[in-house]
Amino acid sequence: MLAVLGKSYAQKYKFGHVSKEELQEVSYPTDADAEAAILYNYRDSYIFTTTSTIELTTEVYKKIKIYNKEGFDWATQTVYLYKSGSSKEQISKIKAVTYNLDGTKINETKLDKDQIFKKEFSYRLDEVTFTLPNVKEGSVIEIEYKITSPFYRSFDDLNFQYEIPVKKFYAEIRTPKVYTYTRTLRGNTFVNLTTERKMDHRTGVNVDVYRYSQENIPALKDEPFVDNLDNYRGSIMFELSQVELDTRYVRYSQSWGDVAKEIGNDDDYAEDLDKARFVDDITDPLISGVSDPLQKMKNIFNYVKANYTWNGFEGKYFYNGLKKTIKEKKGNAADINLLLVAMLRYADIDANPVVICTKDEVRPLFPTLKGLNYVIAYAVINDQEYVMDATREFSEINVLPLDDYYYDGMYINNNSMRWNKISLRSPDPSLTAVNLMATLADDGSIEGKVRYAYDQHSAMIFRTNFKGSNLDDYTRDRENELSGIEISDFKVTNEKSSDKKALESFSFFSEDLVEDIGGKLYFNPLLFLTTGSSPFVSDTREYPMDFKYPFERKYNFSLNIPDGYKVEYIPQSNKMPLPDGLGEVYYLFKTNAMGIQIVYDFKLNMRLINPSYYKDIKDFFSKMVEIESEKIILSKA
Amino acid sequence: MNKFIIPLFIAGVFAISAKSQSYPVSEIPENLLKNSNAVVRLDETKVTIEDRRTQKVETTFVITILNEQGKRYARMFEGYDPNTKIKELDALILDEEGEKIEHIKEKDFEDVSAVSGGTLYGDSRVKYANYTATSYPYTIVFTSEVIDHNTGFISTWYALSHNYVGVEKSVYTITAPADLGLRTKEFNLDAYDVTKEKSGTNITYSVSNILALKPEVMSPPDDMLYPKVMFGLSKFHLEGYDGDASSWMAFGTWMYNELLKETFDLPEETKQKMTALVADKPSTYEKAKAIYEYVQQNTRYISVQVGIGGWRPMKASEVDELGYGDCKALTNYTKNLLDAVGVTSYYSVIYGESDYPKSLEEDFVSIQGNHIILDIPIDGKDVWIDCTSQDDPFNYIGSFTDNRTALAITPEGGEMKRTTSYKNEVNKQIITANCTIDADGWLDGTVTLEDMGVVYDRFRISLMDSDEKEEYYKRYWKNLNNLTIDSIAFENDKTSVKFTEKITIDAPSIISYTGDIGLLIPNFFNNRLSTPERYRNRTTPFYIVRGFADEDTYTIELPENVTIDFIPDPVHKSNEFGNYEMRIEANGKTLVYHRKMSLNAGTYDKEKYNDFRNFIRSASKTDNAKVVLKKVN
Repeated sequence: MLAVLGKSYAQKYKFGHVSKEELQEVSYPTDADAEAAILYNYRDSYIFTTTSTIELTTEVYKKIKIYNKEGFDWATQTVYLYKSGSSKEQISKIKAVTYNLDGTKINETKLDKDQIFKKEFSYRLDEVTFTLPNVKEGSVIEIEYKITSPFYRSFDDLNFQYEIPVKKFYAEIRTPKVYTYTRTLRGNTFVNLTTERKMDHRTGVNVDVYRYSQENIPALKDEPFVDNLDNYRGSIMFELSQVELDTRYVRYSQSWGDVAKEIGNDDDYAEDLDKARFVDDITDPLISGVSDPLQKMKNIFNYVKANYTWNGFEGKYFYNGLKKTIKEKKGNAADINLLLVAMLRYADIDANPVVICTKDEVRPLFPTLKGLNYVIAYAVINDQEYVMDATREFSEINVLPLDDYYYDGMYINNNSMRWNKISLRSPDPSLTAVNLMATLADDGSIEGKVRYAYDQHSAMIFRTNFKGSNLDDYTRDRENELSGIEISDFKVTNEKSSDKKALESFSFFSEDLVEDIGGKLYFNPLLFLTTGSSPFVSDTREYPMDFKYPFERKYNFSLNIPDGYKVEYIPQSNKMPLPDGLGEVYYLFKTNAMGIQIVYDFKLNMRLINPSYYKDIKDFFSKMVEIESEKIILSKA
Repeated sequence: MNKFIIPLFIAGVFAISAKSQSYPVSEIPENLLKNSNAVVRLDETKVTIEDRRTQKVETTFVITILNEQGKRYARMFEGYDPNTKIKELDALILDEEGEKIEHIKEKDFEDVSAVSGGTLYGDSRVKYANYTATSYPYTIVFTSEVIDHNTGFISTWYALSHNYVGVEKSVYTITAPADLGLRTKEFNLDAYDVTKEKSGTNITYSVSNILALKPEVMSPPDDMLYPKVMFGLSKFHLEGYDGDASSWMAFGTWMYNELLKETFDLPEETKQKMTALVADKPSTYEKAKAIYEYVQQNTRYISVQVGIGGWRPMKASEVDELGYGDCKALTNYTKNLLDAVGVTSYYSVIYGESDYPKSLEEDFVSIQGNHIILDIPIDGKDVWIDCTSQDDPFNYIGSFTDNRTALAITPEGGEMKRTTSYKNEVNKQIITANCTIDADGWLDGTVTLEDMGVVYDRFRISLMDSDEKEEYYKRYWKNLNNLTIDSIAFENDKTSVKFTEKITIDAPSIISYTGDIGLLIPNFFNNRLSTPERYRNRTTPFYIVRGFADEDTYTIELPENVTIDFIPDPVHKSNEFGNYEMRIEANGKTLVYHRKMSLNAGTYDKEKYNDFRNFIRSASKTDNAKVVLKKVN
């Protein structure tokens, strides 16, 4: 049975087999927009072990059809080769040919070796790049190369979905039986998998063979409000989870607990952090005479934020190490947040690291060491949990930088031998509250005062934008954003980091918000805070919508109308919910003795909303635009 | 798509005596702190032309970074390549008092490729220092010395190079052997107190206390406002070749003979192919057009910049074989193909820049420009083409190279010419629409947009995927809520360079009802104006780069269940900036909306900015003028 199956797997390509039909094809049959298509994407990876080395070899073959000029970029190939110390990946046997149809004749042009360029891309990566010669609309190109790598523990993600369609995909991965890899499929595209265990004649060991195949894989589509497009790309991930040595098993990350424990066992955690004995000098002044542990934590968090600068690098392991971080007052995420943990522990607070994955990375689908790229601090005081990230000036306790909210975190407590998952997928809702009082004049001008109060992430975003701004320039930007109103007495309170709300207030004047039409005054109830247009225009949606954080926007307006005028028309109050408690908007329009009272309250309760709700969301925003375009009309009494 | 030729040039820099000095922040004059994110304490450049083939550039750049926004001005890098060697590189970081915090030595500088994303490969590299500030303010004392075996480029003195940066002192000294013919050209120095000293072969420019500038919208490009001095040698050396810049004529002759001539090696077979290709073309214009279209179909843009290859095109035979090249290679190849069929054309050096027409300095002979296009003189007129574009019509260059000087390289030498200008009413867009609104307030419409002049660039919409096109129009007309695009069709007339878009749309609730009163904004399709920012005290002139003329006519059939209650009065405003007209005619249940708007290219005094702003503001308001309808049952 196996032998028979084995034969039918023969998917190996033949270089140089390009047909006239392929050259004559003018567009991809099921995707007329495609600028190019991968006719065949073939990959063969195998691990080769000798007594002294373990090497991962990958053979790549691609046949690509170029339909039009926009597709020319696919004729340029860039391969990144990873290196670390003296270990580096190598590329060899690069072969590439362009085929064009000249009448009925197929013309071939080969890639010259001197048109292959290699350069150092960064200290971790070399870049090899080449472009195919003679590429025209209609060309077919073939590319083949081989990469050998000493980094066998985790493979590069095996992508099988691209921004152009793939007609045929086949990948074969051969690993020695004694190596167990965790394999995960990502994206919405199904691929066929068969596995086989057999004796490999070249190496003389038992191997596991994984064969993936699929045909007609659609192009990966981009959309706005996506957290990280690579989360939705069809790909297969391989990570080593277990090695069987004689009778012994060396287990790598098989569960999240294993991952957390493995990170915890690293010297950075088990030695430097757990045995840190040198934070007393900096911590003592922050906690002396303070008895409330919460206050101690605040003091320490604010001190680390204010005195240690983030160098912009993420990382779950040290860049500098704690001692050097204290000395140089800067470091990566691990340096800063593990220093914070060490100081909290010194202050007798139950504090531990939580290792996370930020939005820069693909969201993990299985326990993975490689997929976690960042660490934050976690503390428990009186059964209350607190998370902290001291890398950013305007983050607060329980208000982390937005990219931290993405996936679960791995709690690492070596001392009590606890390594487990905690949820970090969404922060608490943030509130922006706006109070506005204004007076309309009979000439159609309007003047008034506004106050914005921002809390949590709204405050964080406001403070980040406001920081370092020239007040004049900032005011002008606001004028521009807010329908060109003229702003005076602009004032900001609590612009520094604080657990208090950030306040922004100003007076405004405008002659453009109210229109005199045939002696009546017309205006939008929400004045310069009208929604304007919906951010969602597409008819369909494939991926979840990332709103970054749940929020509430609440406006409270009180408008005085000019003497001698009365309210001729005011829109109906309205309450509009989104399904399943995702959110709602509430409009109150009311006439009272003084004039008009308006309340607008918009709540979006989820950070990430499933695409099945797209139509609801789209209709909801449209309906808001429609409601807000209804005018209030004043006429002479 | 157009691409640049020349890799970013990084001016050479270095250091003299600044290292031993301390720079306490307290010594910065108060007025320099205003609007500043950083203050240049000392920018000292010393250029020594040792001989025709060697220049030494010593730089000391001392800057105090006042806050996080100032970080980007902390220049600590030098570029190098096989002919440019870094001799010294050093950076000191000082604290507020001027005490040393850190010393970054040459070996600690990062060394990376300086080739940008658009280039497949190049040999220029850069060494840069990375410093993460832990507090502000701090001061950087950067010193470098570079030996450059090219003298074709001499660093320009930019007394001021950024907004939000004050300058305490900037000094530039240059010395050159008299026989090399050093020349200078000064720009915008009048507004500043610049000292120029000349002694023997030495020239020194210096200036102190330049206040920080803030950017303003529509202001002319910084390049046209900042004080600077350009330098050049009449006798220079470039990547192994001696050059002559005593006149454009001589410079062009040098380029033609040394850089271009030996690349004219088109294979005989291709020459014959071209002859056959144009055999039935009746005129020079038609022949040239056929050749350009051949190049567009058979080549593509790929940039490789190595050594003299940064200046000399790839051989014509090589482009013929590979089917790709950069702007130099593709332009030169096209020239060779044209030569093969007896059509004269000239390889022409230019600046590619869409934001404004950046010209070569006509009265200052030196290596300038960053792009190459082709000039084909036909019947006494210049036809310009960009050979890196795969889509531009013949005789259309668009906003990337329009209306500016270009140096045409002829066998007899260089000749300054001017490219096609697209100005004011040439950039015409005519929008016509036939619309009906039904009893439920649903809008159905057929819109036609005709794009001419640089507005023709809208043809790029046709290159988008169908989803993208649909989304593009939904965002383009975002004033129409819940818009549906029913069909999209284009007509690309490359002969007369006119792009026509025919779109059918529908949108619900176009009439906004408040009780029985319905409001309708009939300007459905050209309602995109936004009032430019307001300045209490504007300091720079304002600049309209090209100007345009729009004409809109929409016919709107109203539903039976409404009557017209009010129609806005016609508006007509005309001034030196442009013209705006709007009028609405009602004919039974049919409205006809007319709108015309034009802006005139030019640079206008800052005092006129408020008038201009008011003009746009009132136009924008009129664009939203409403027709009042009344529901009848």
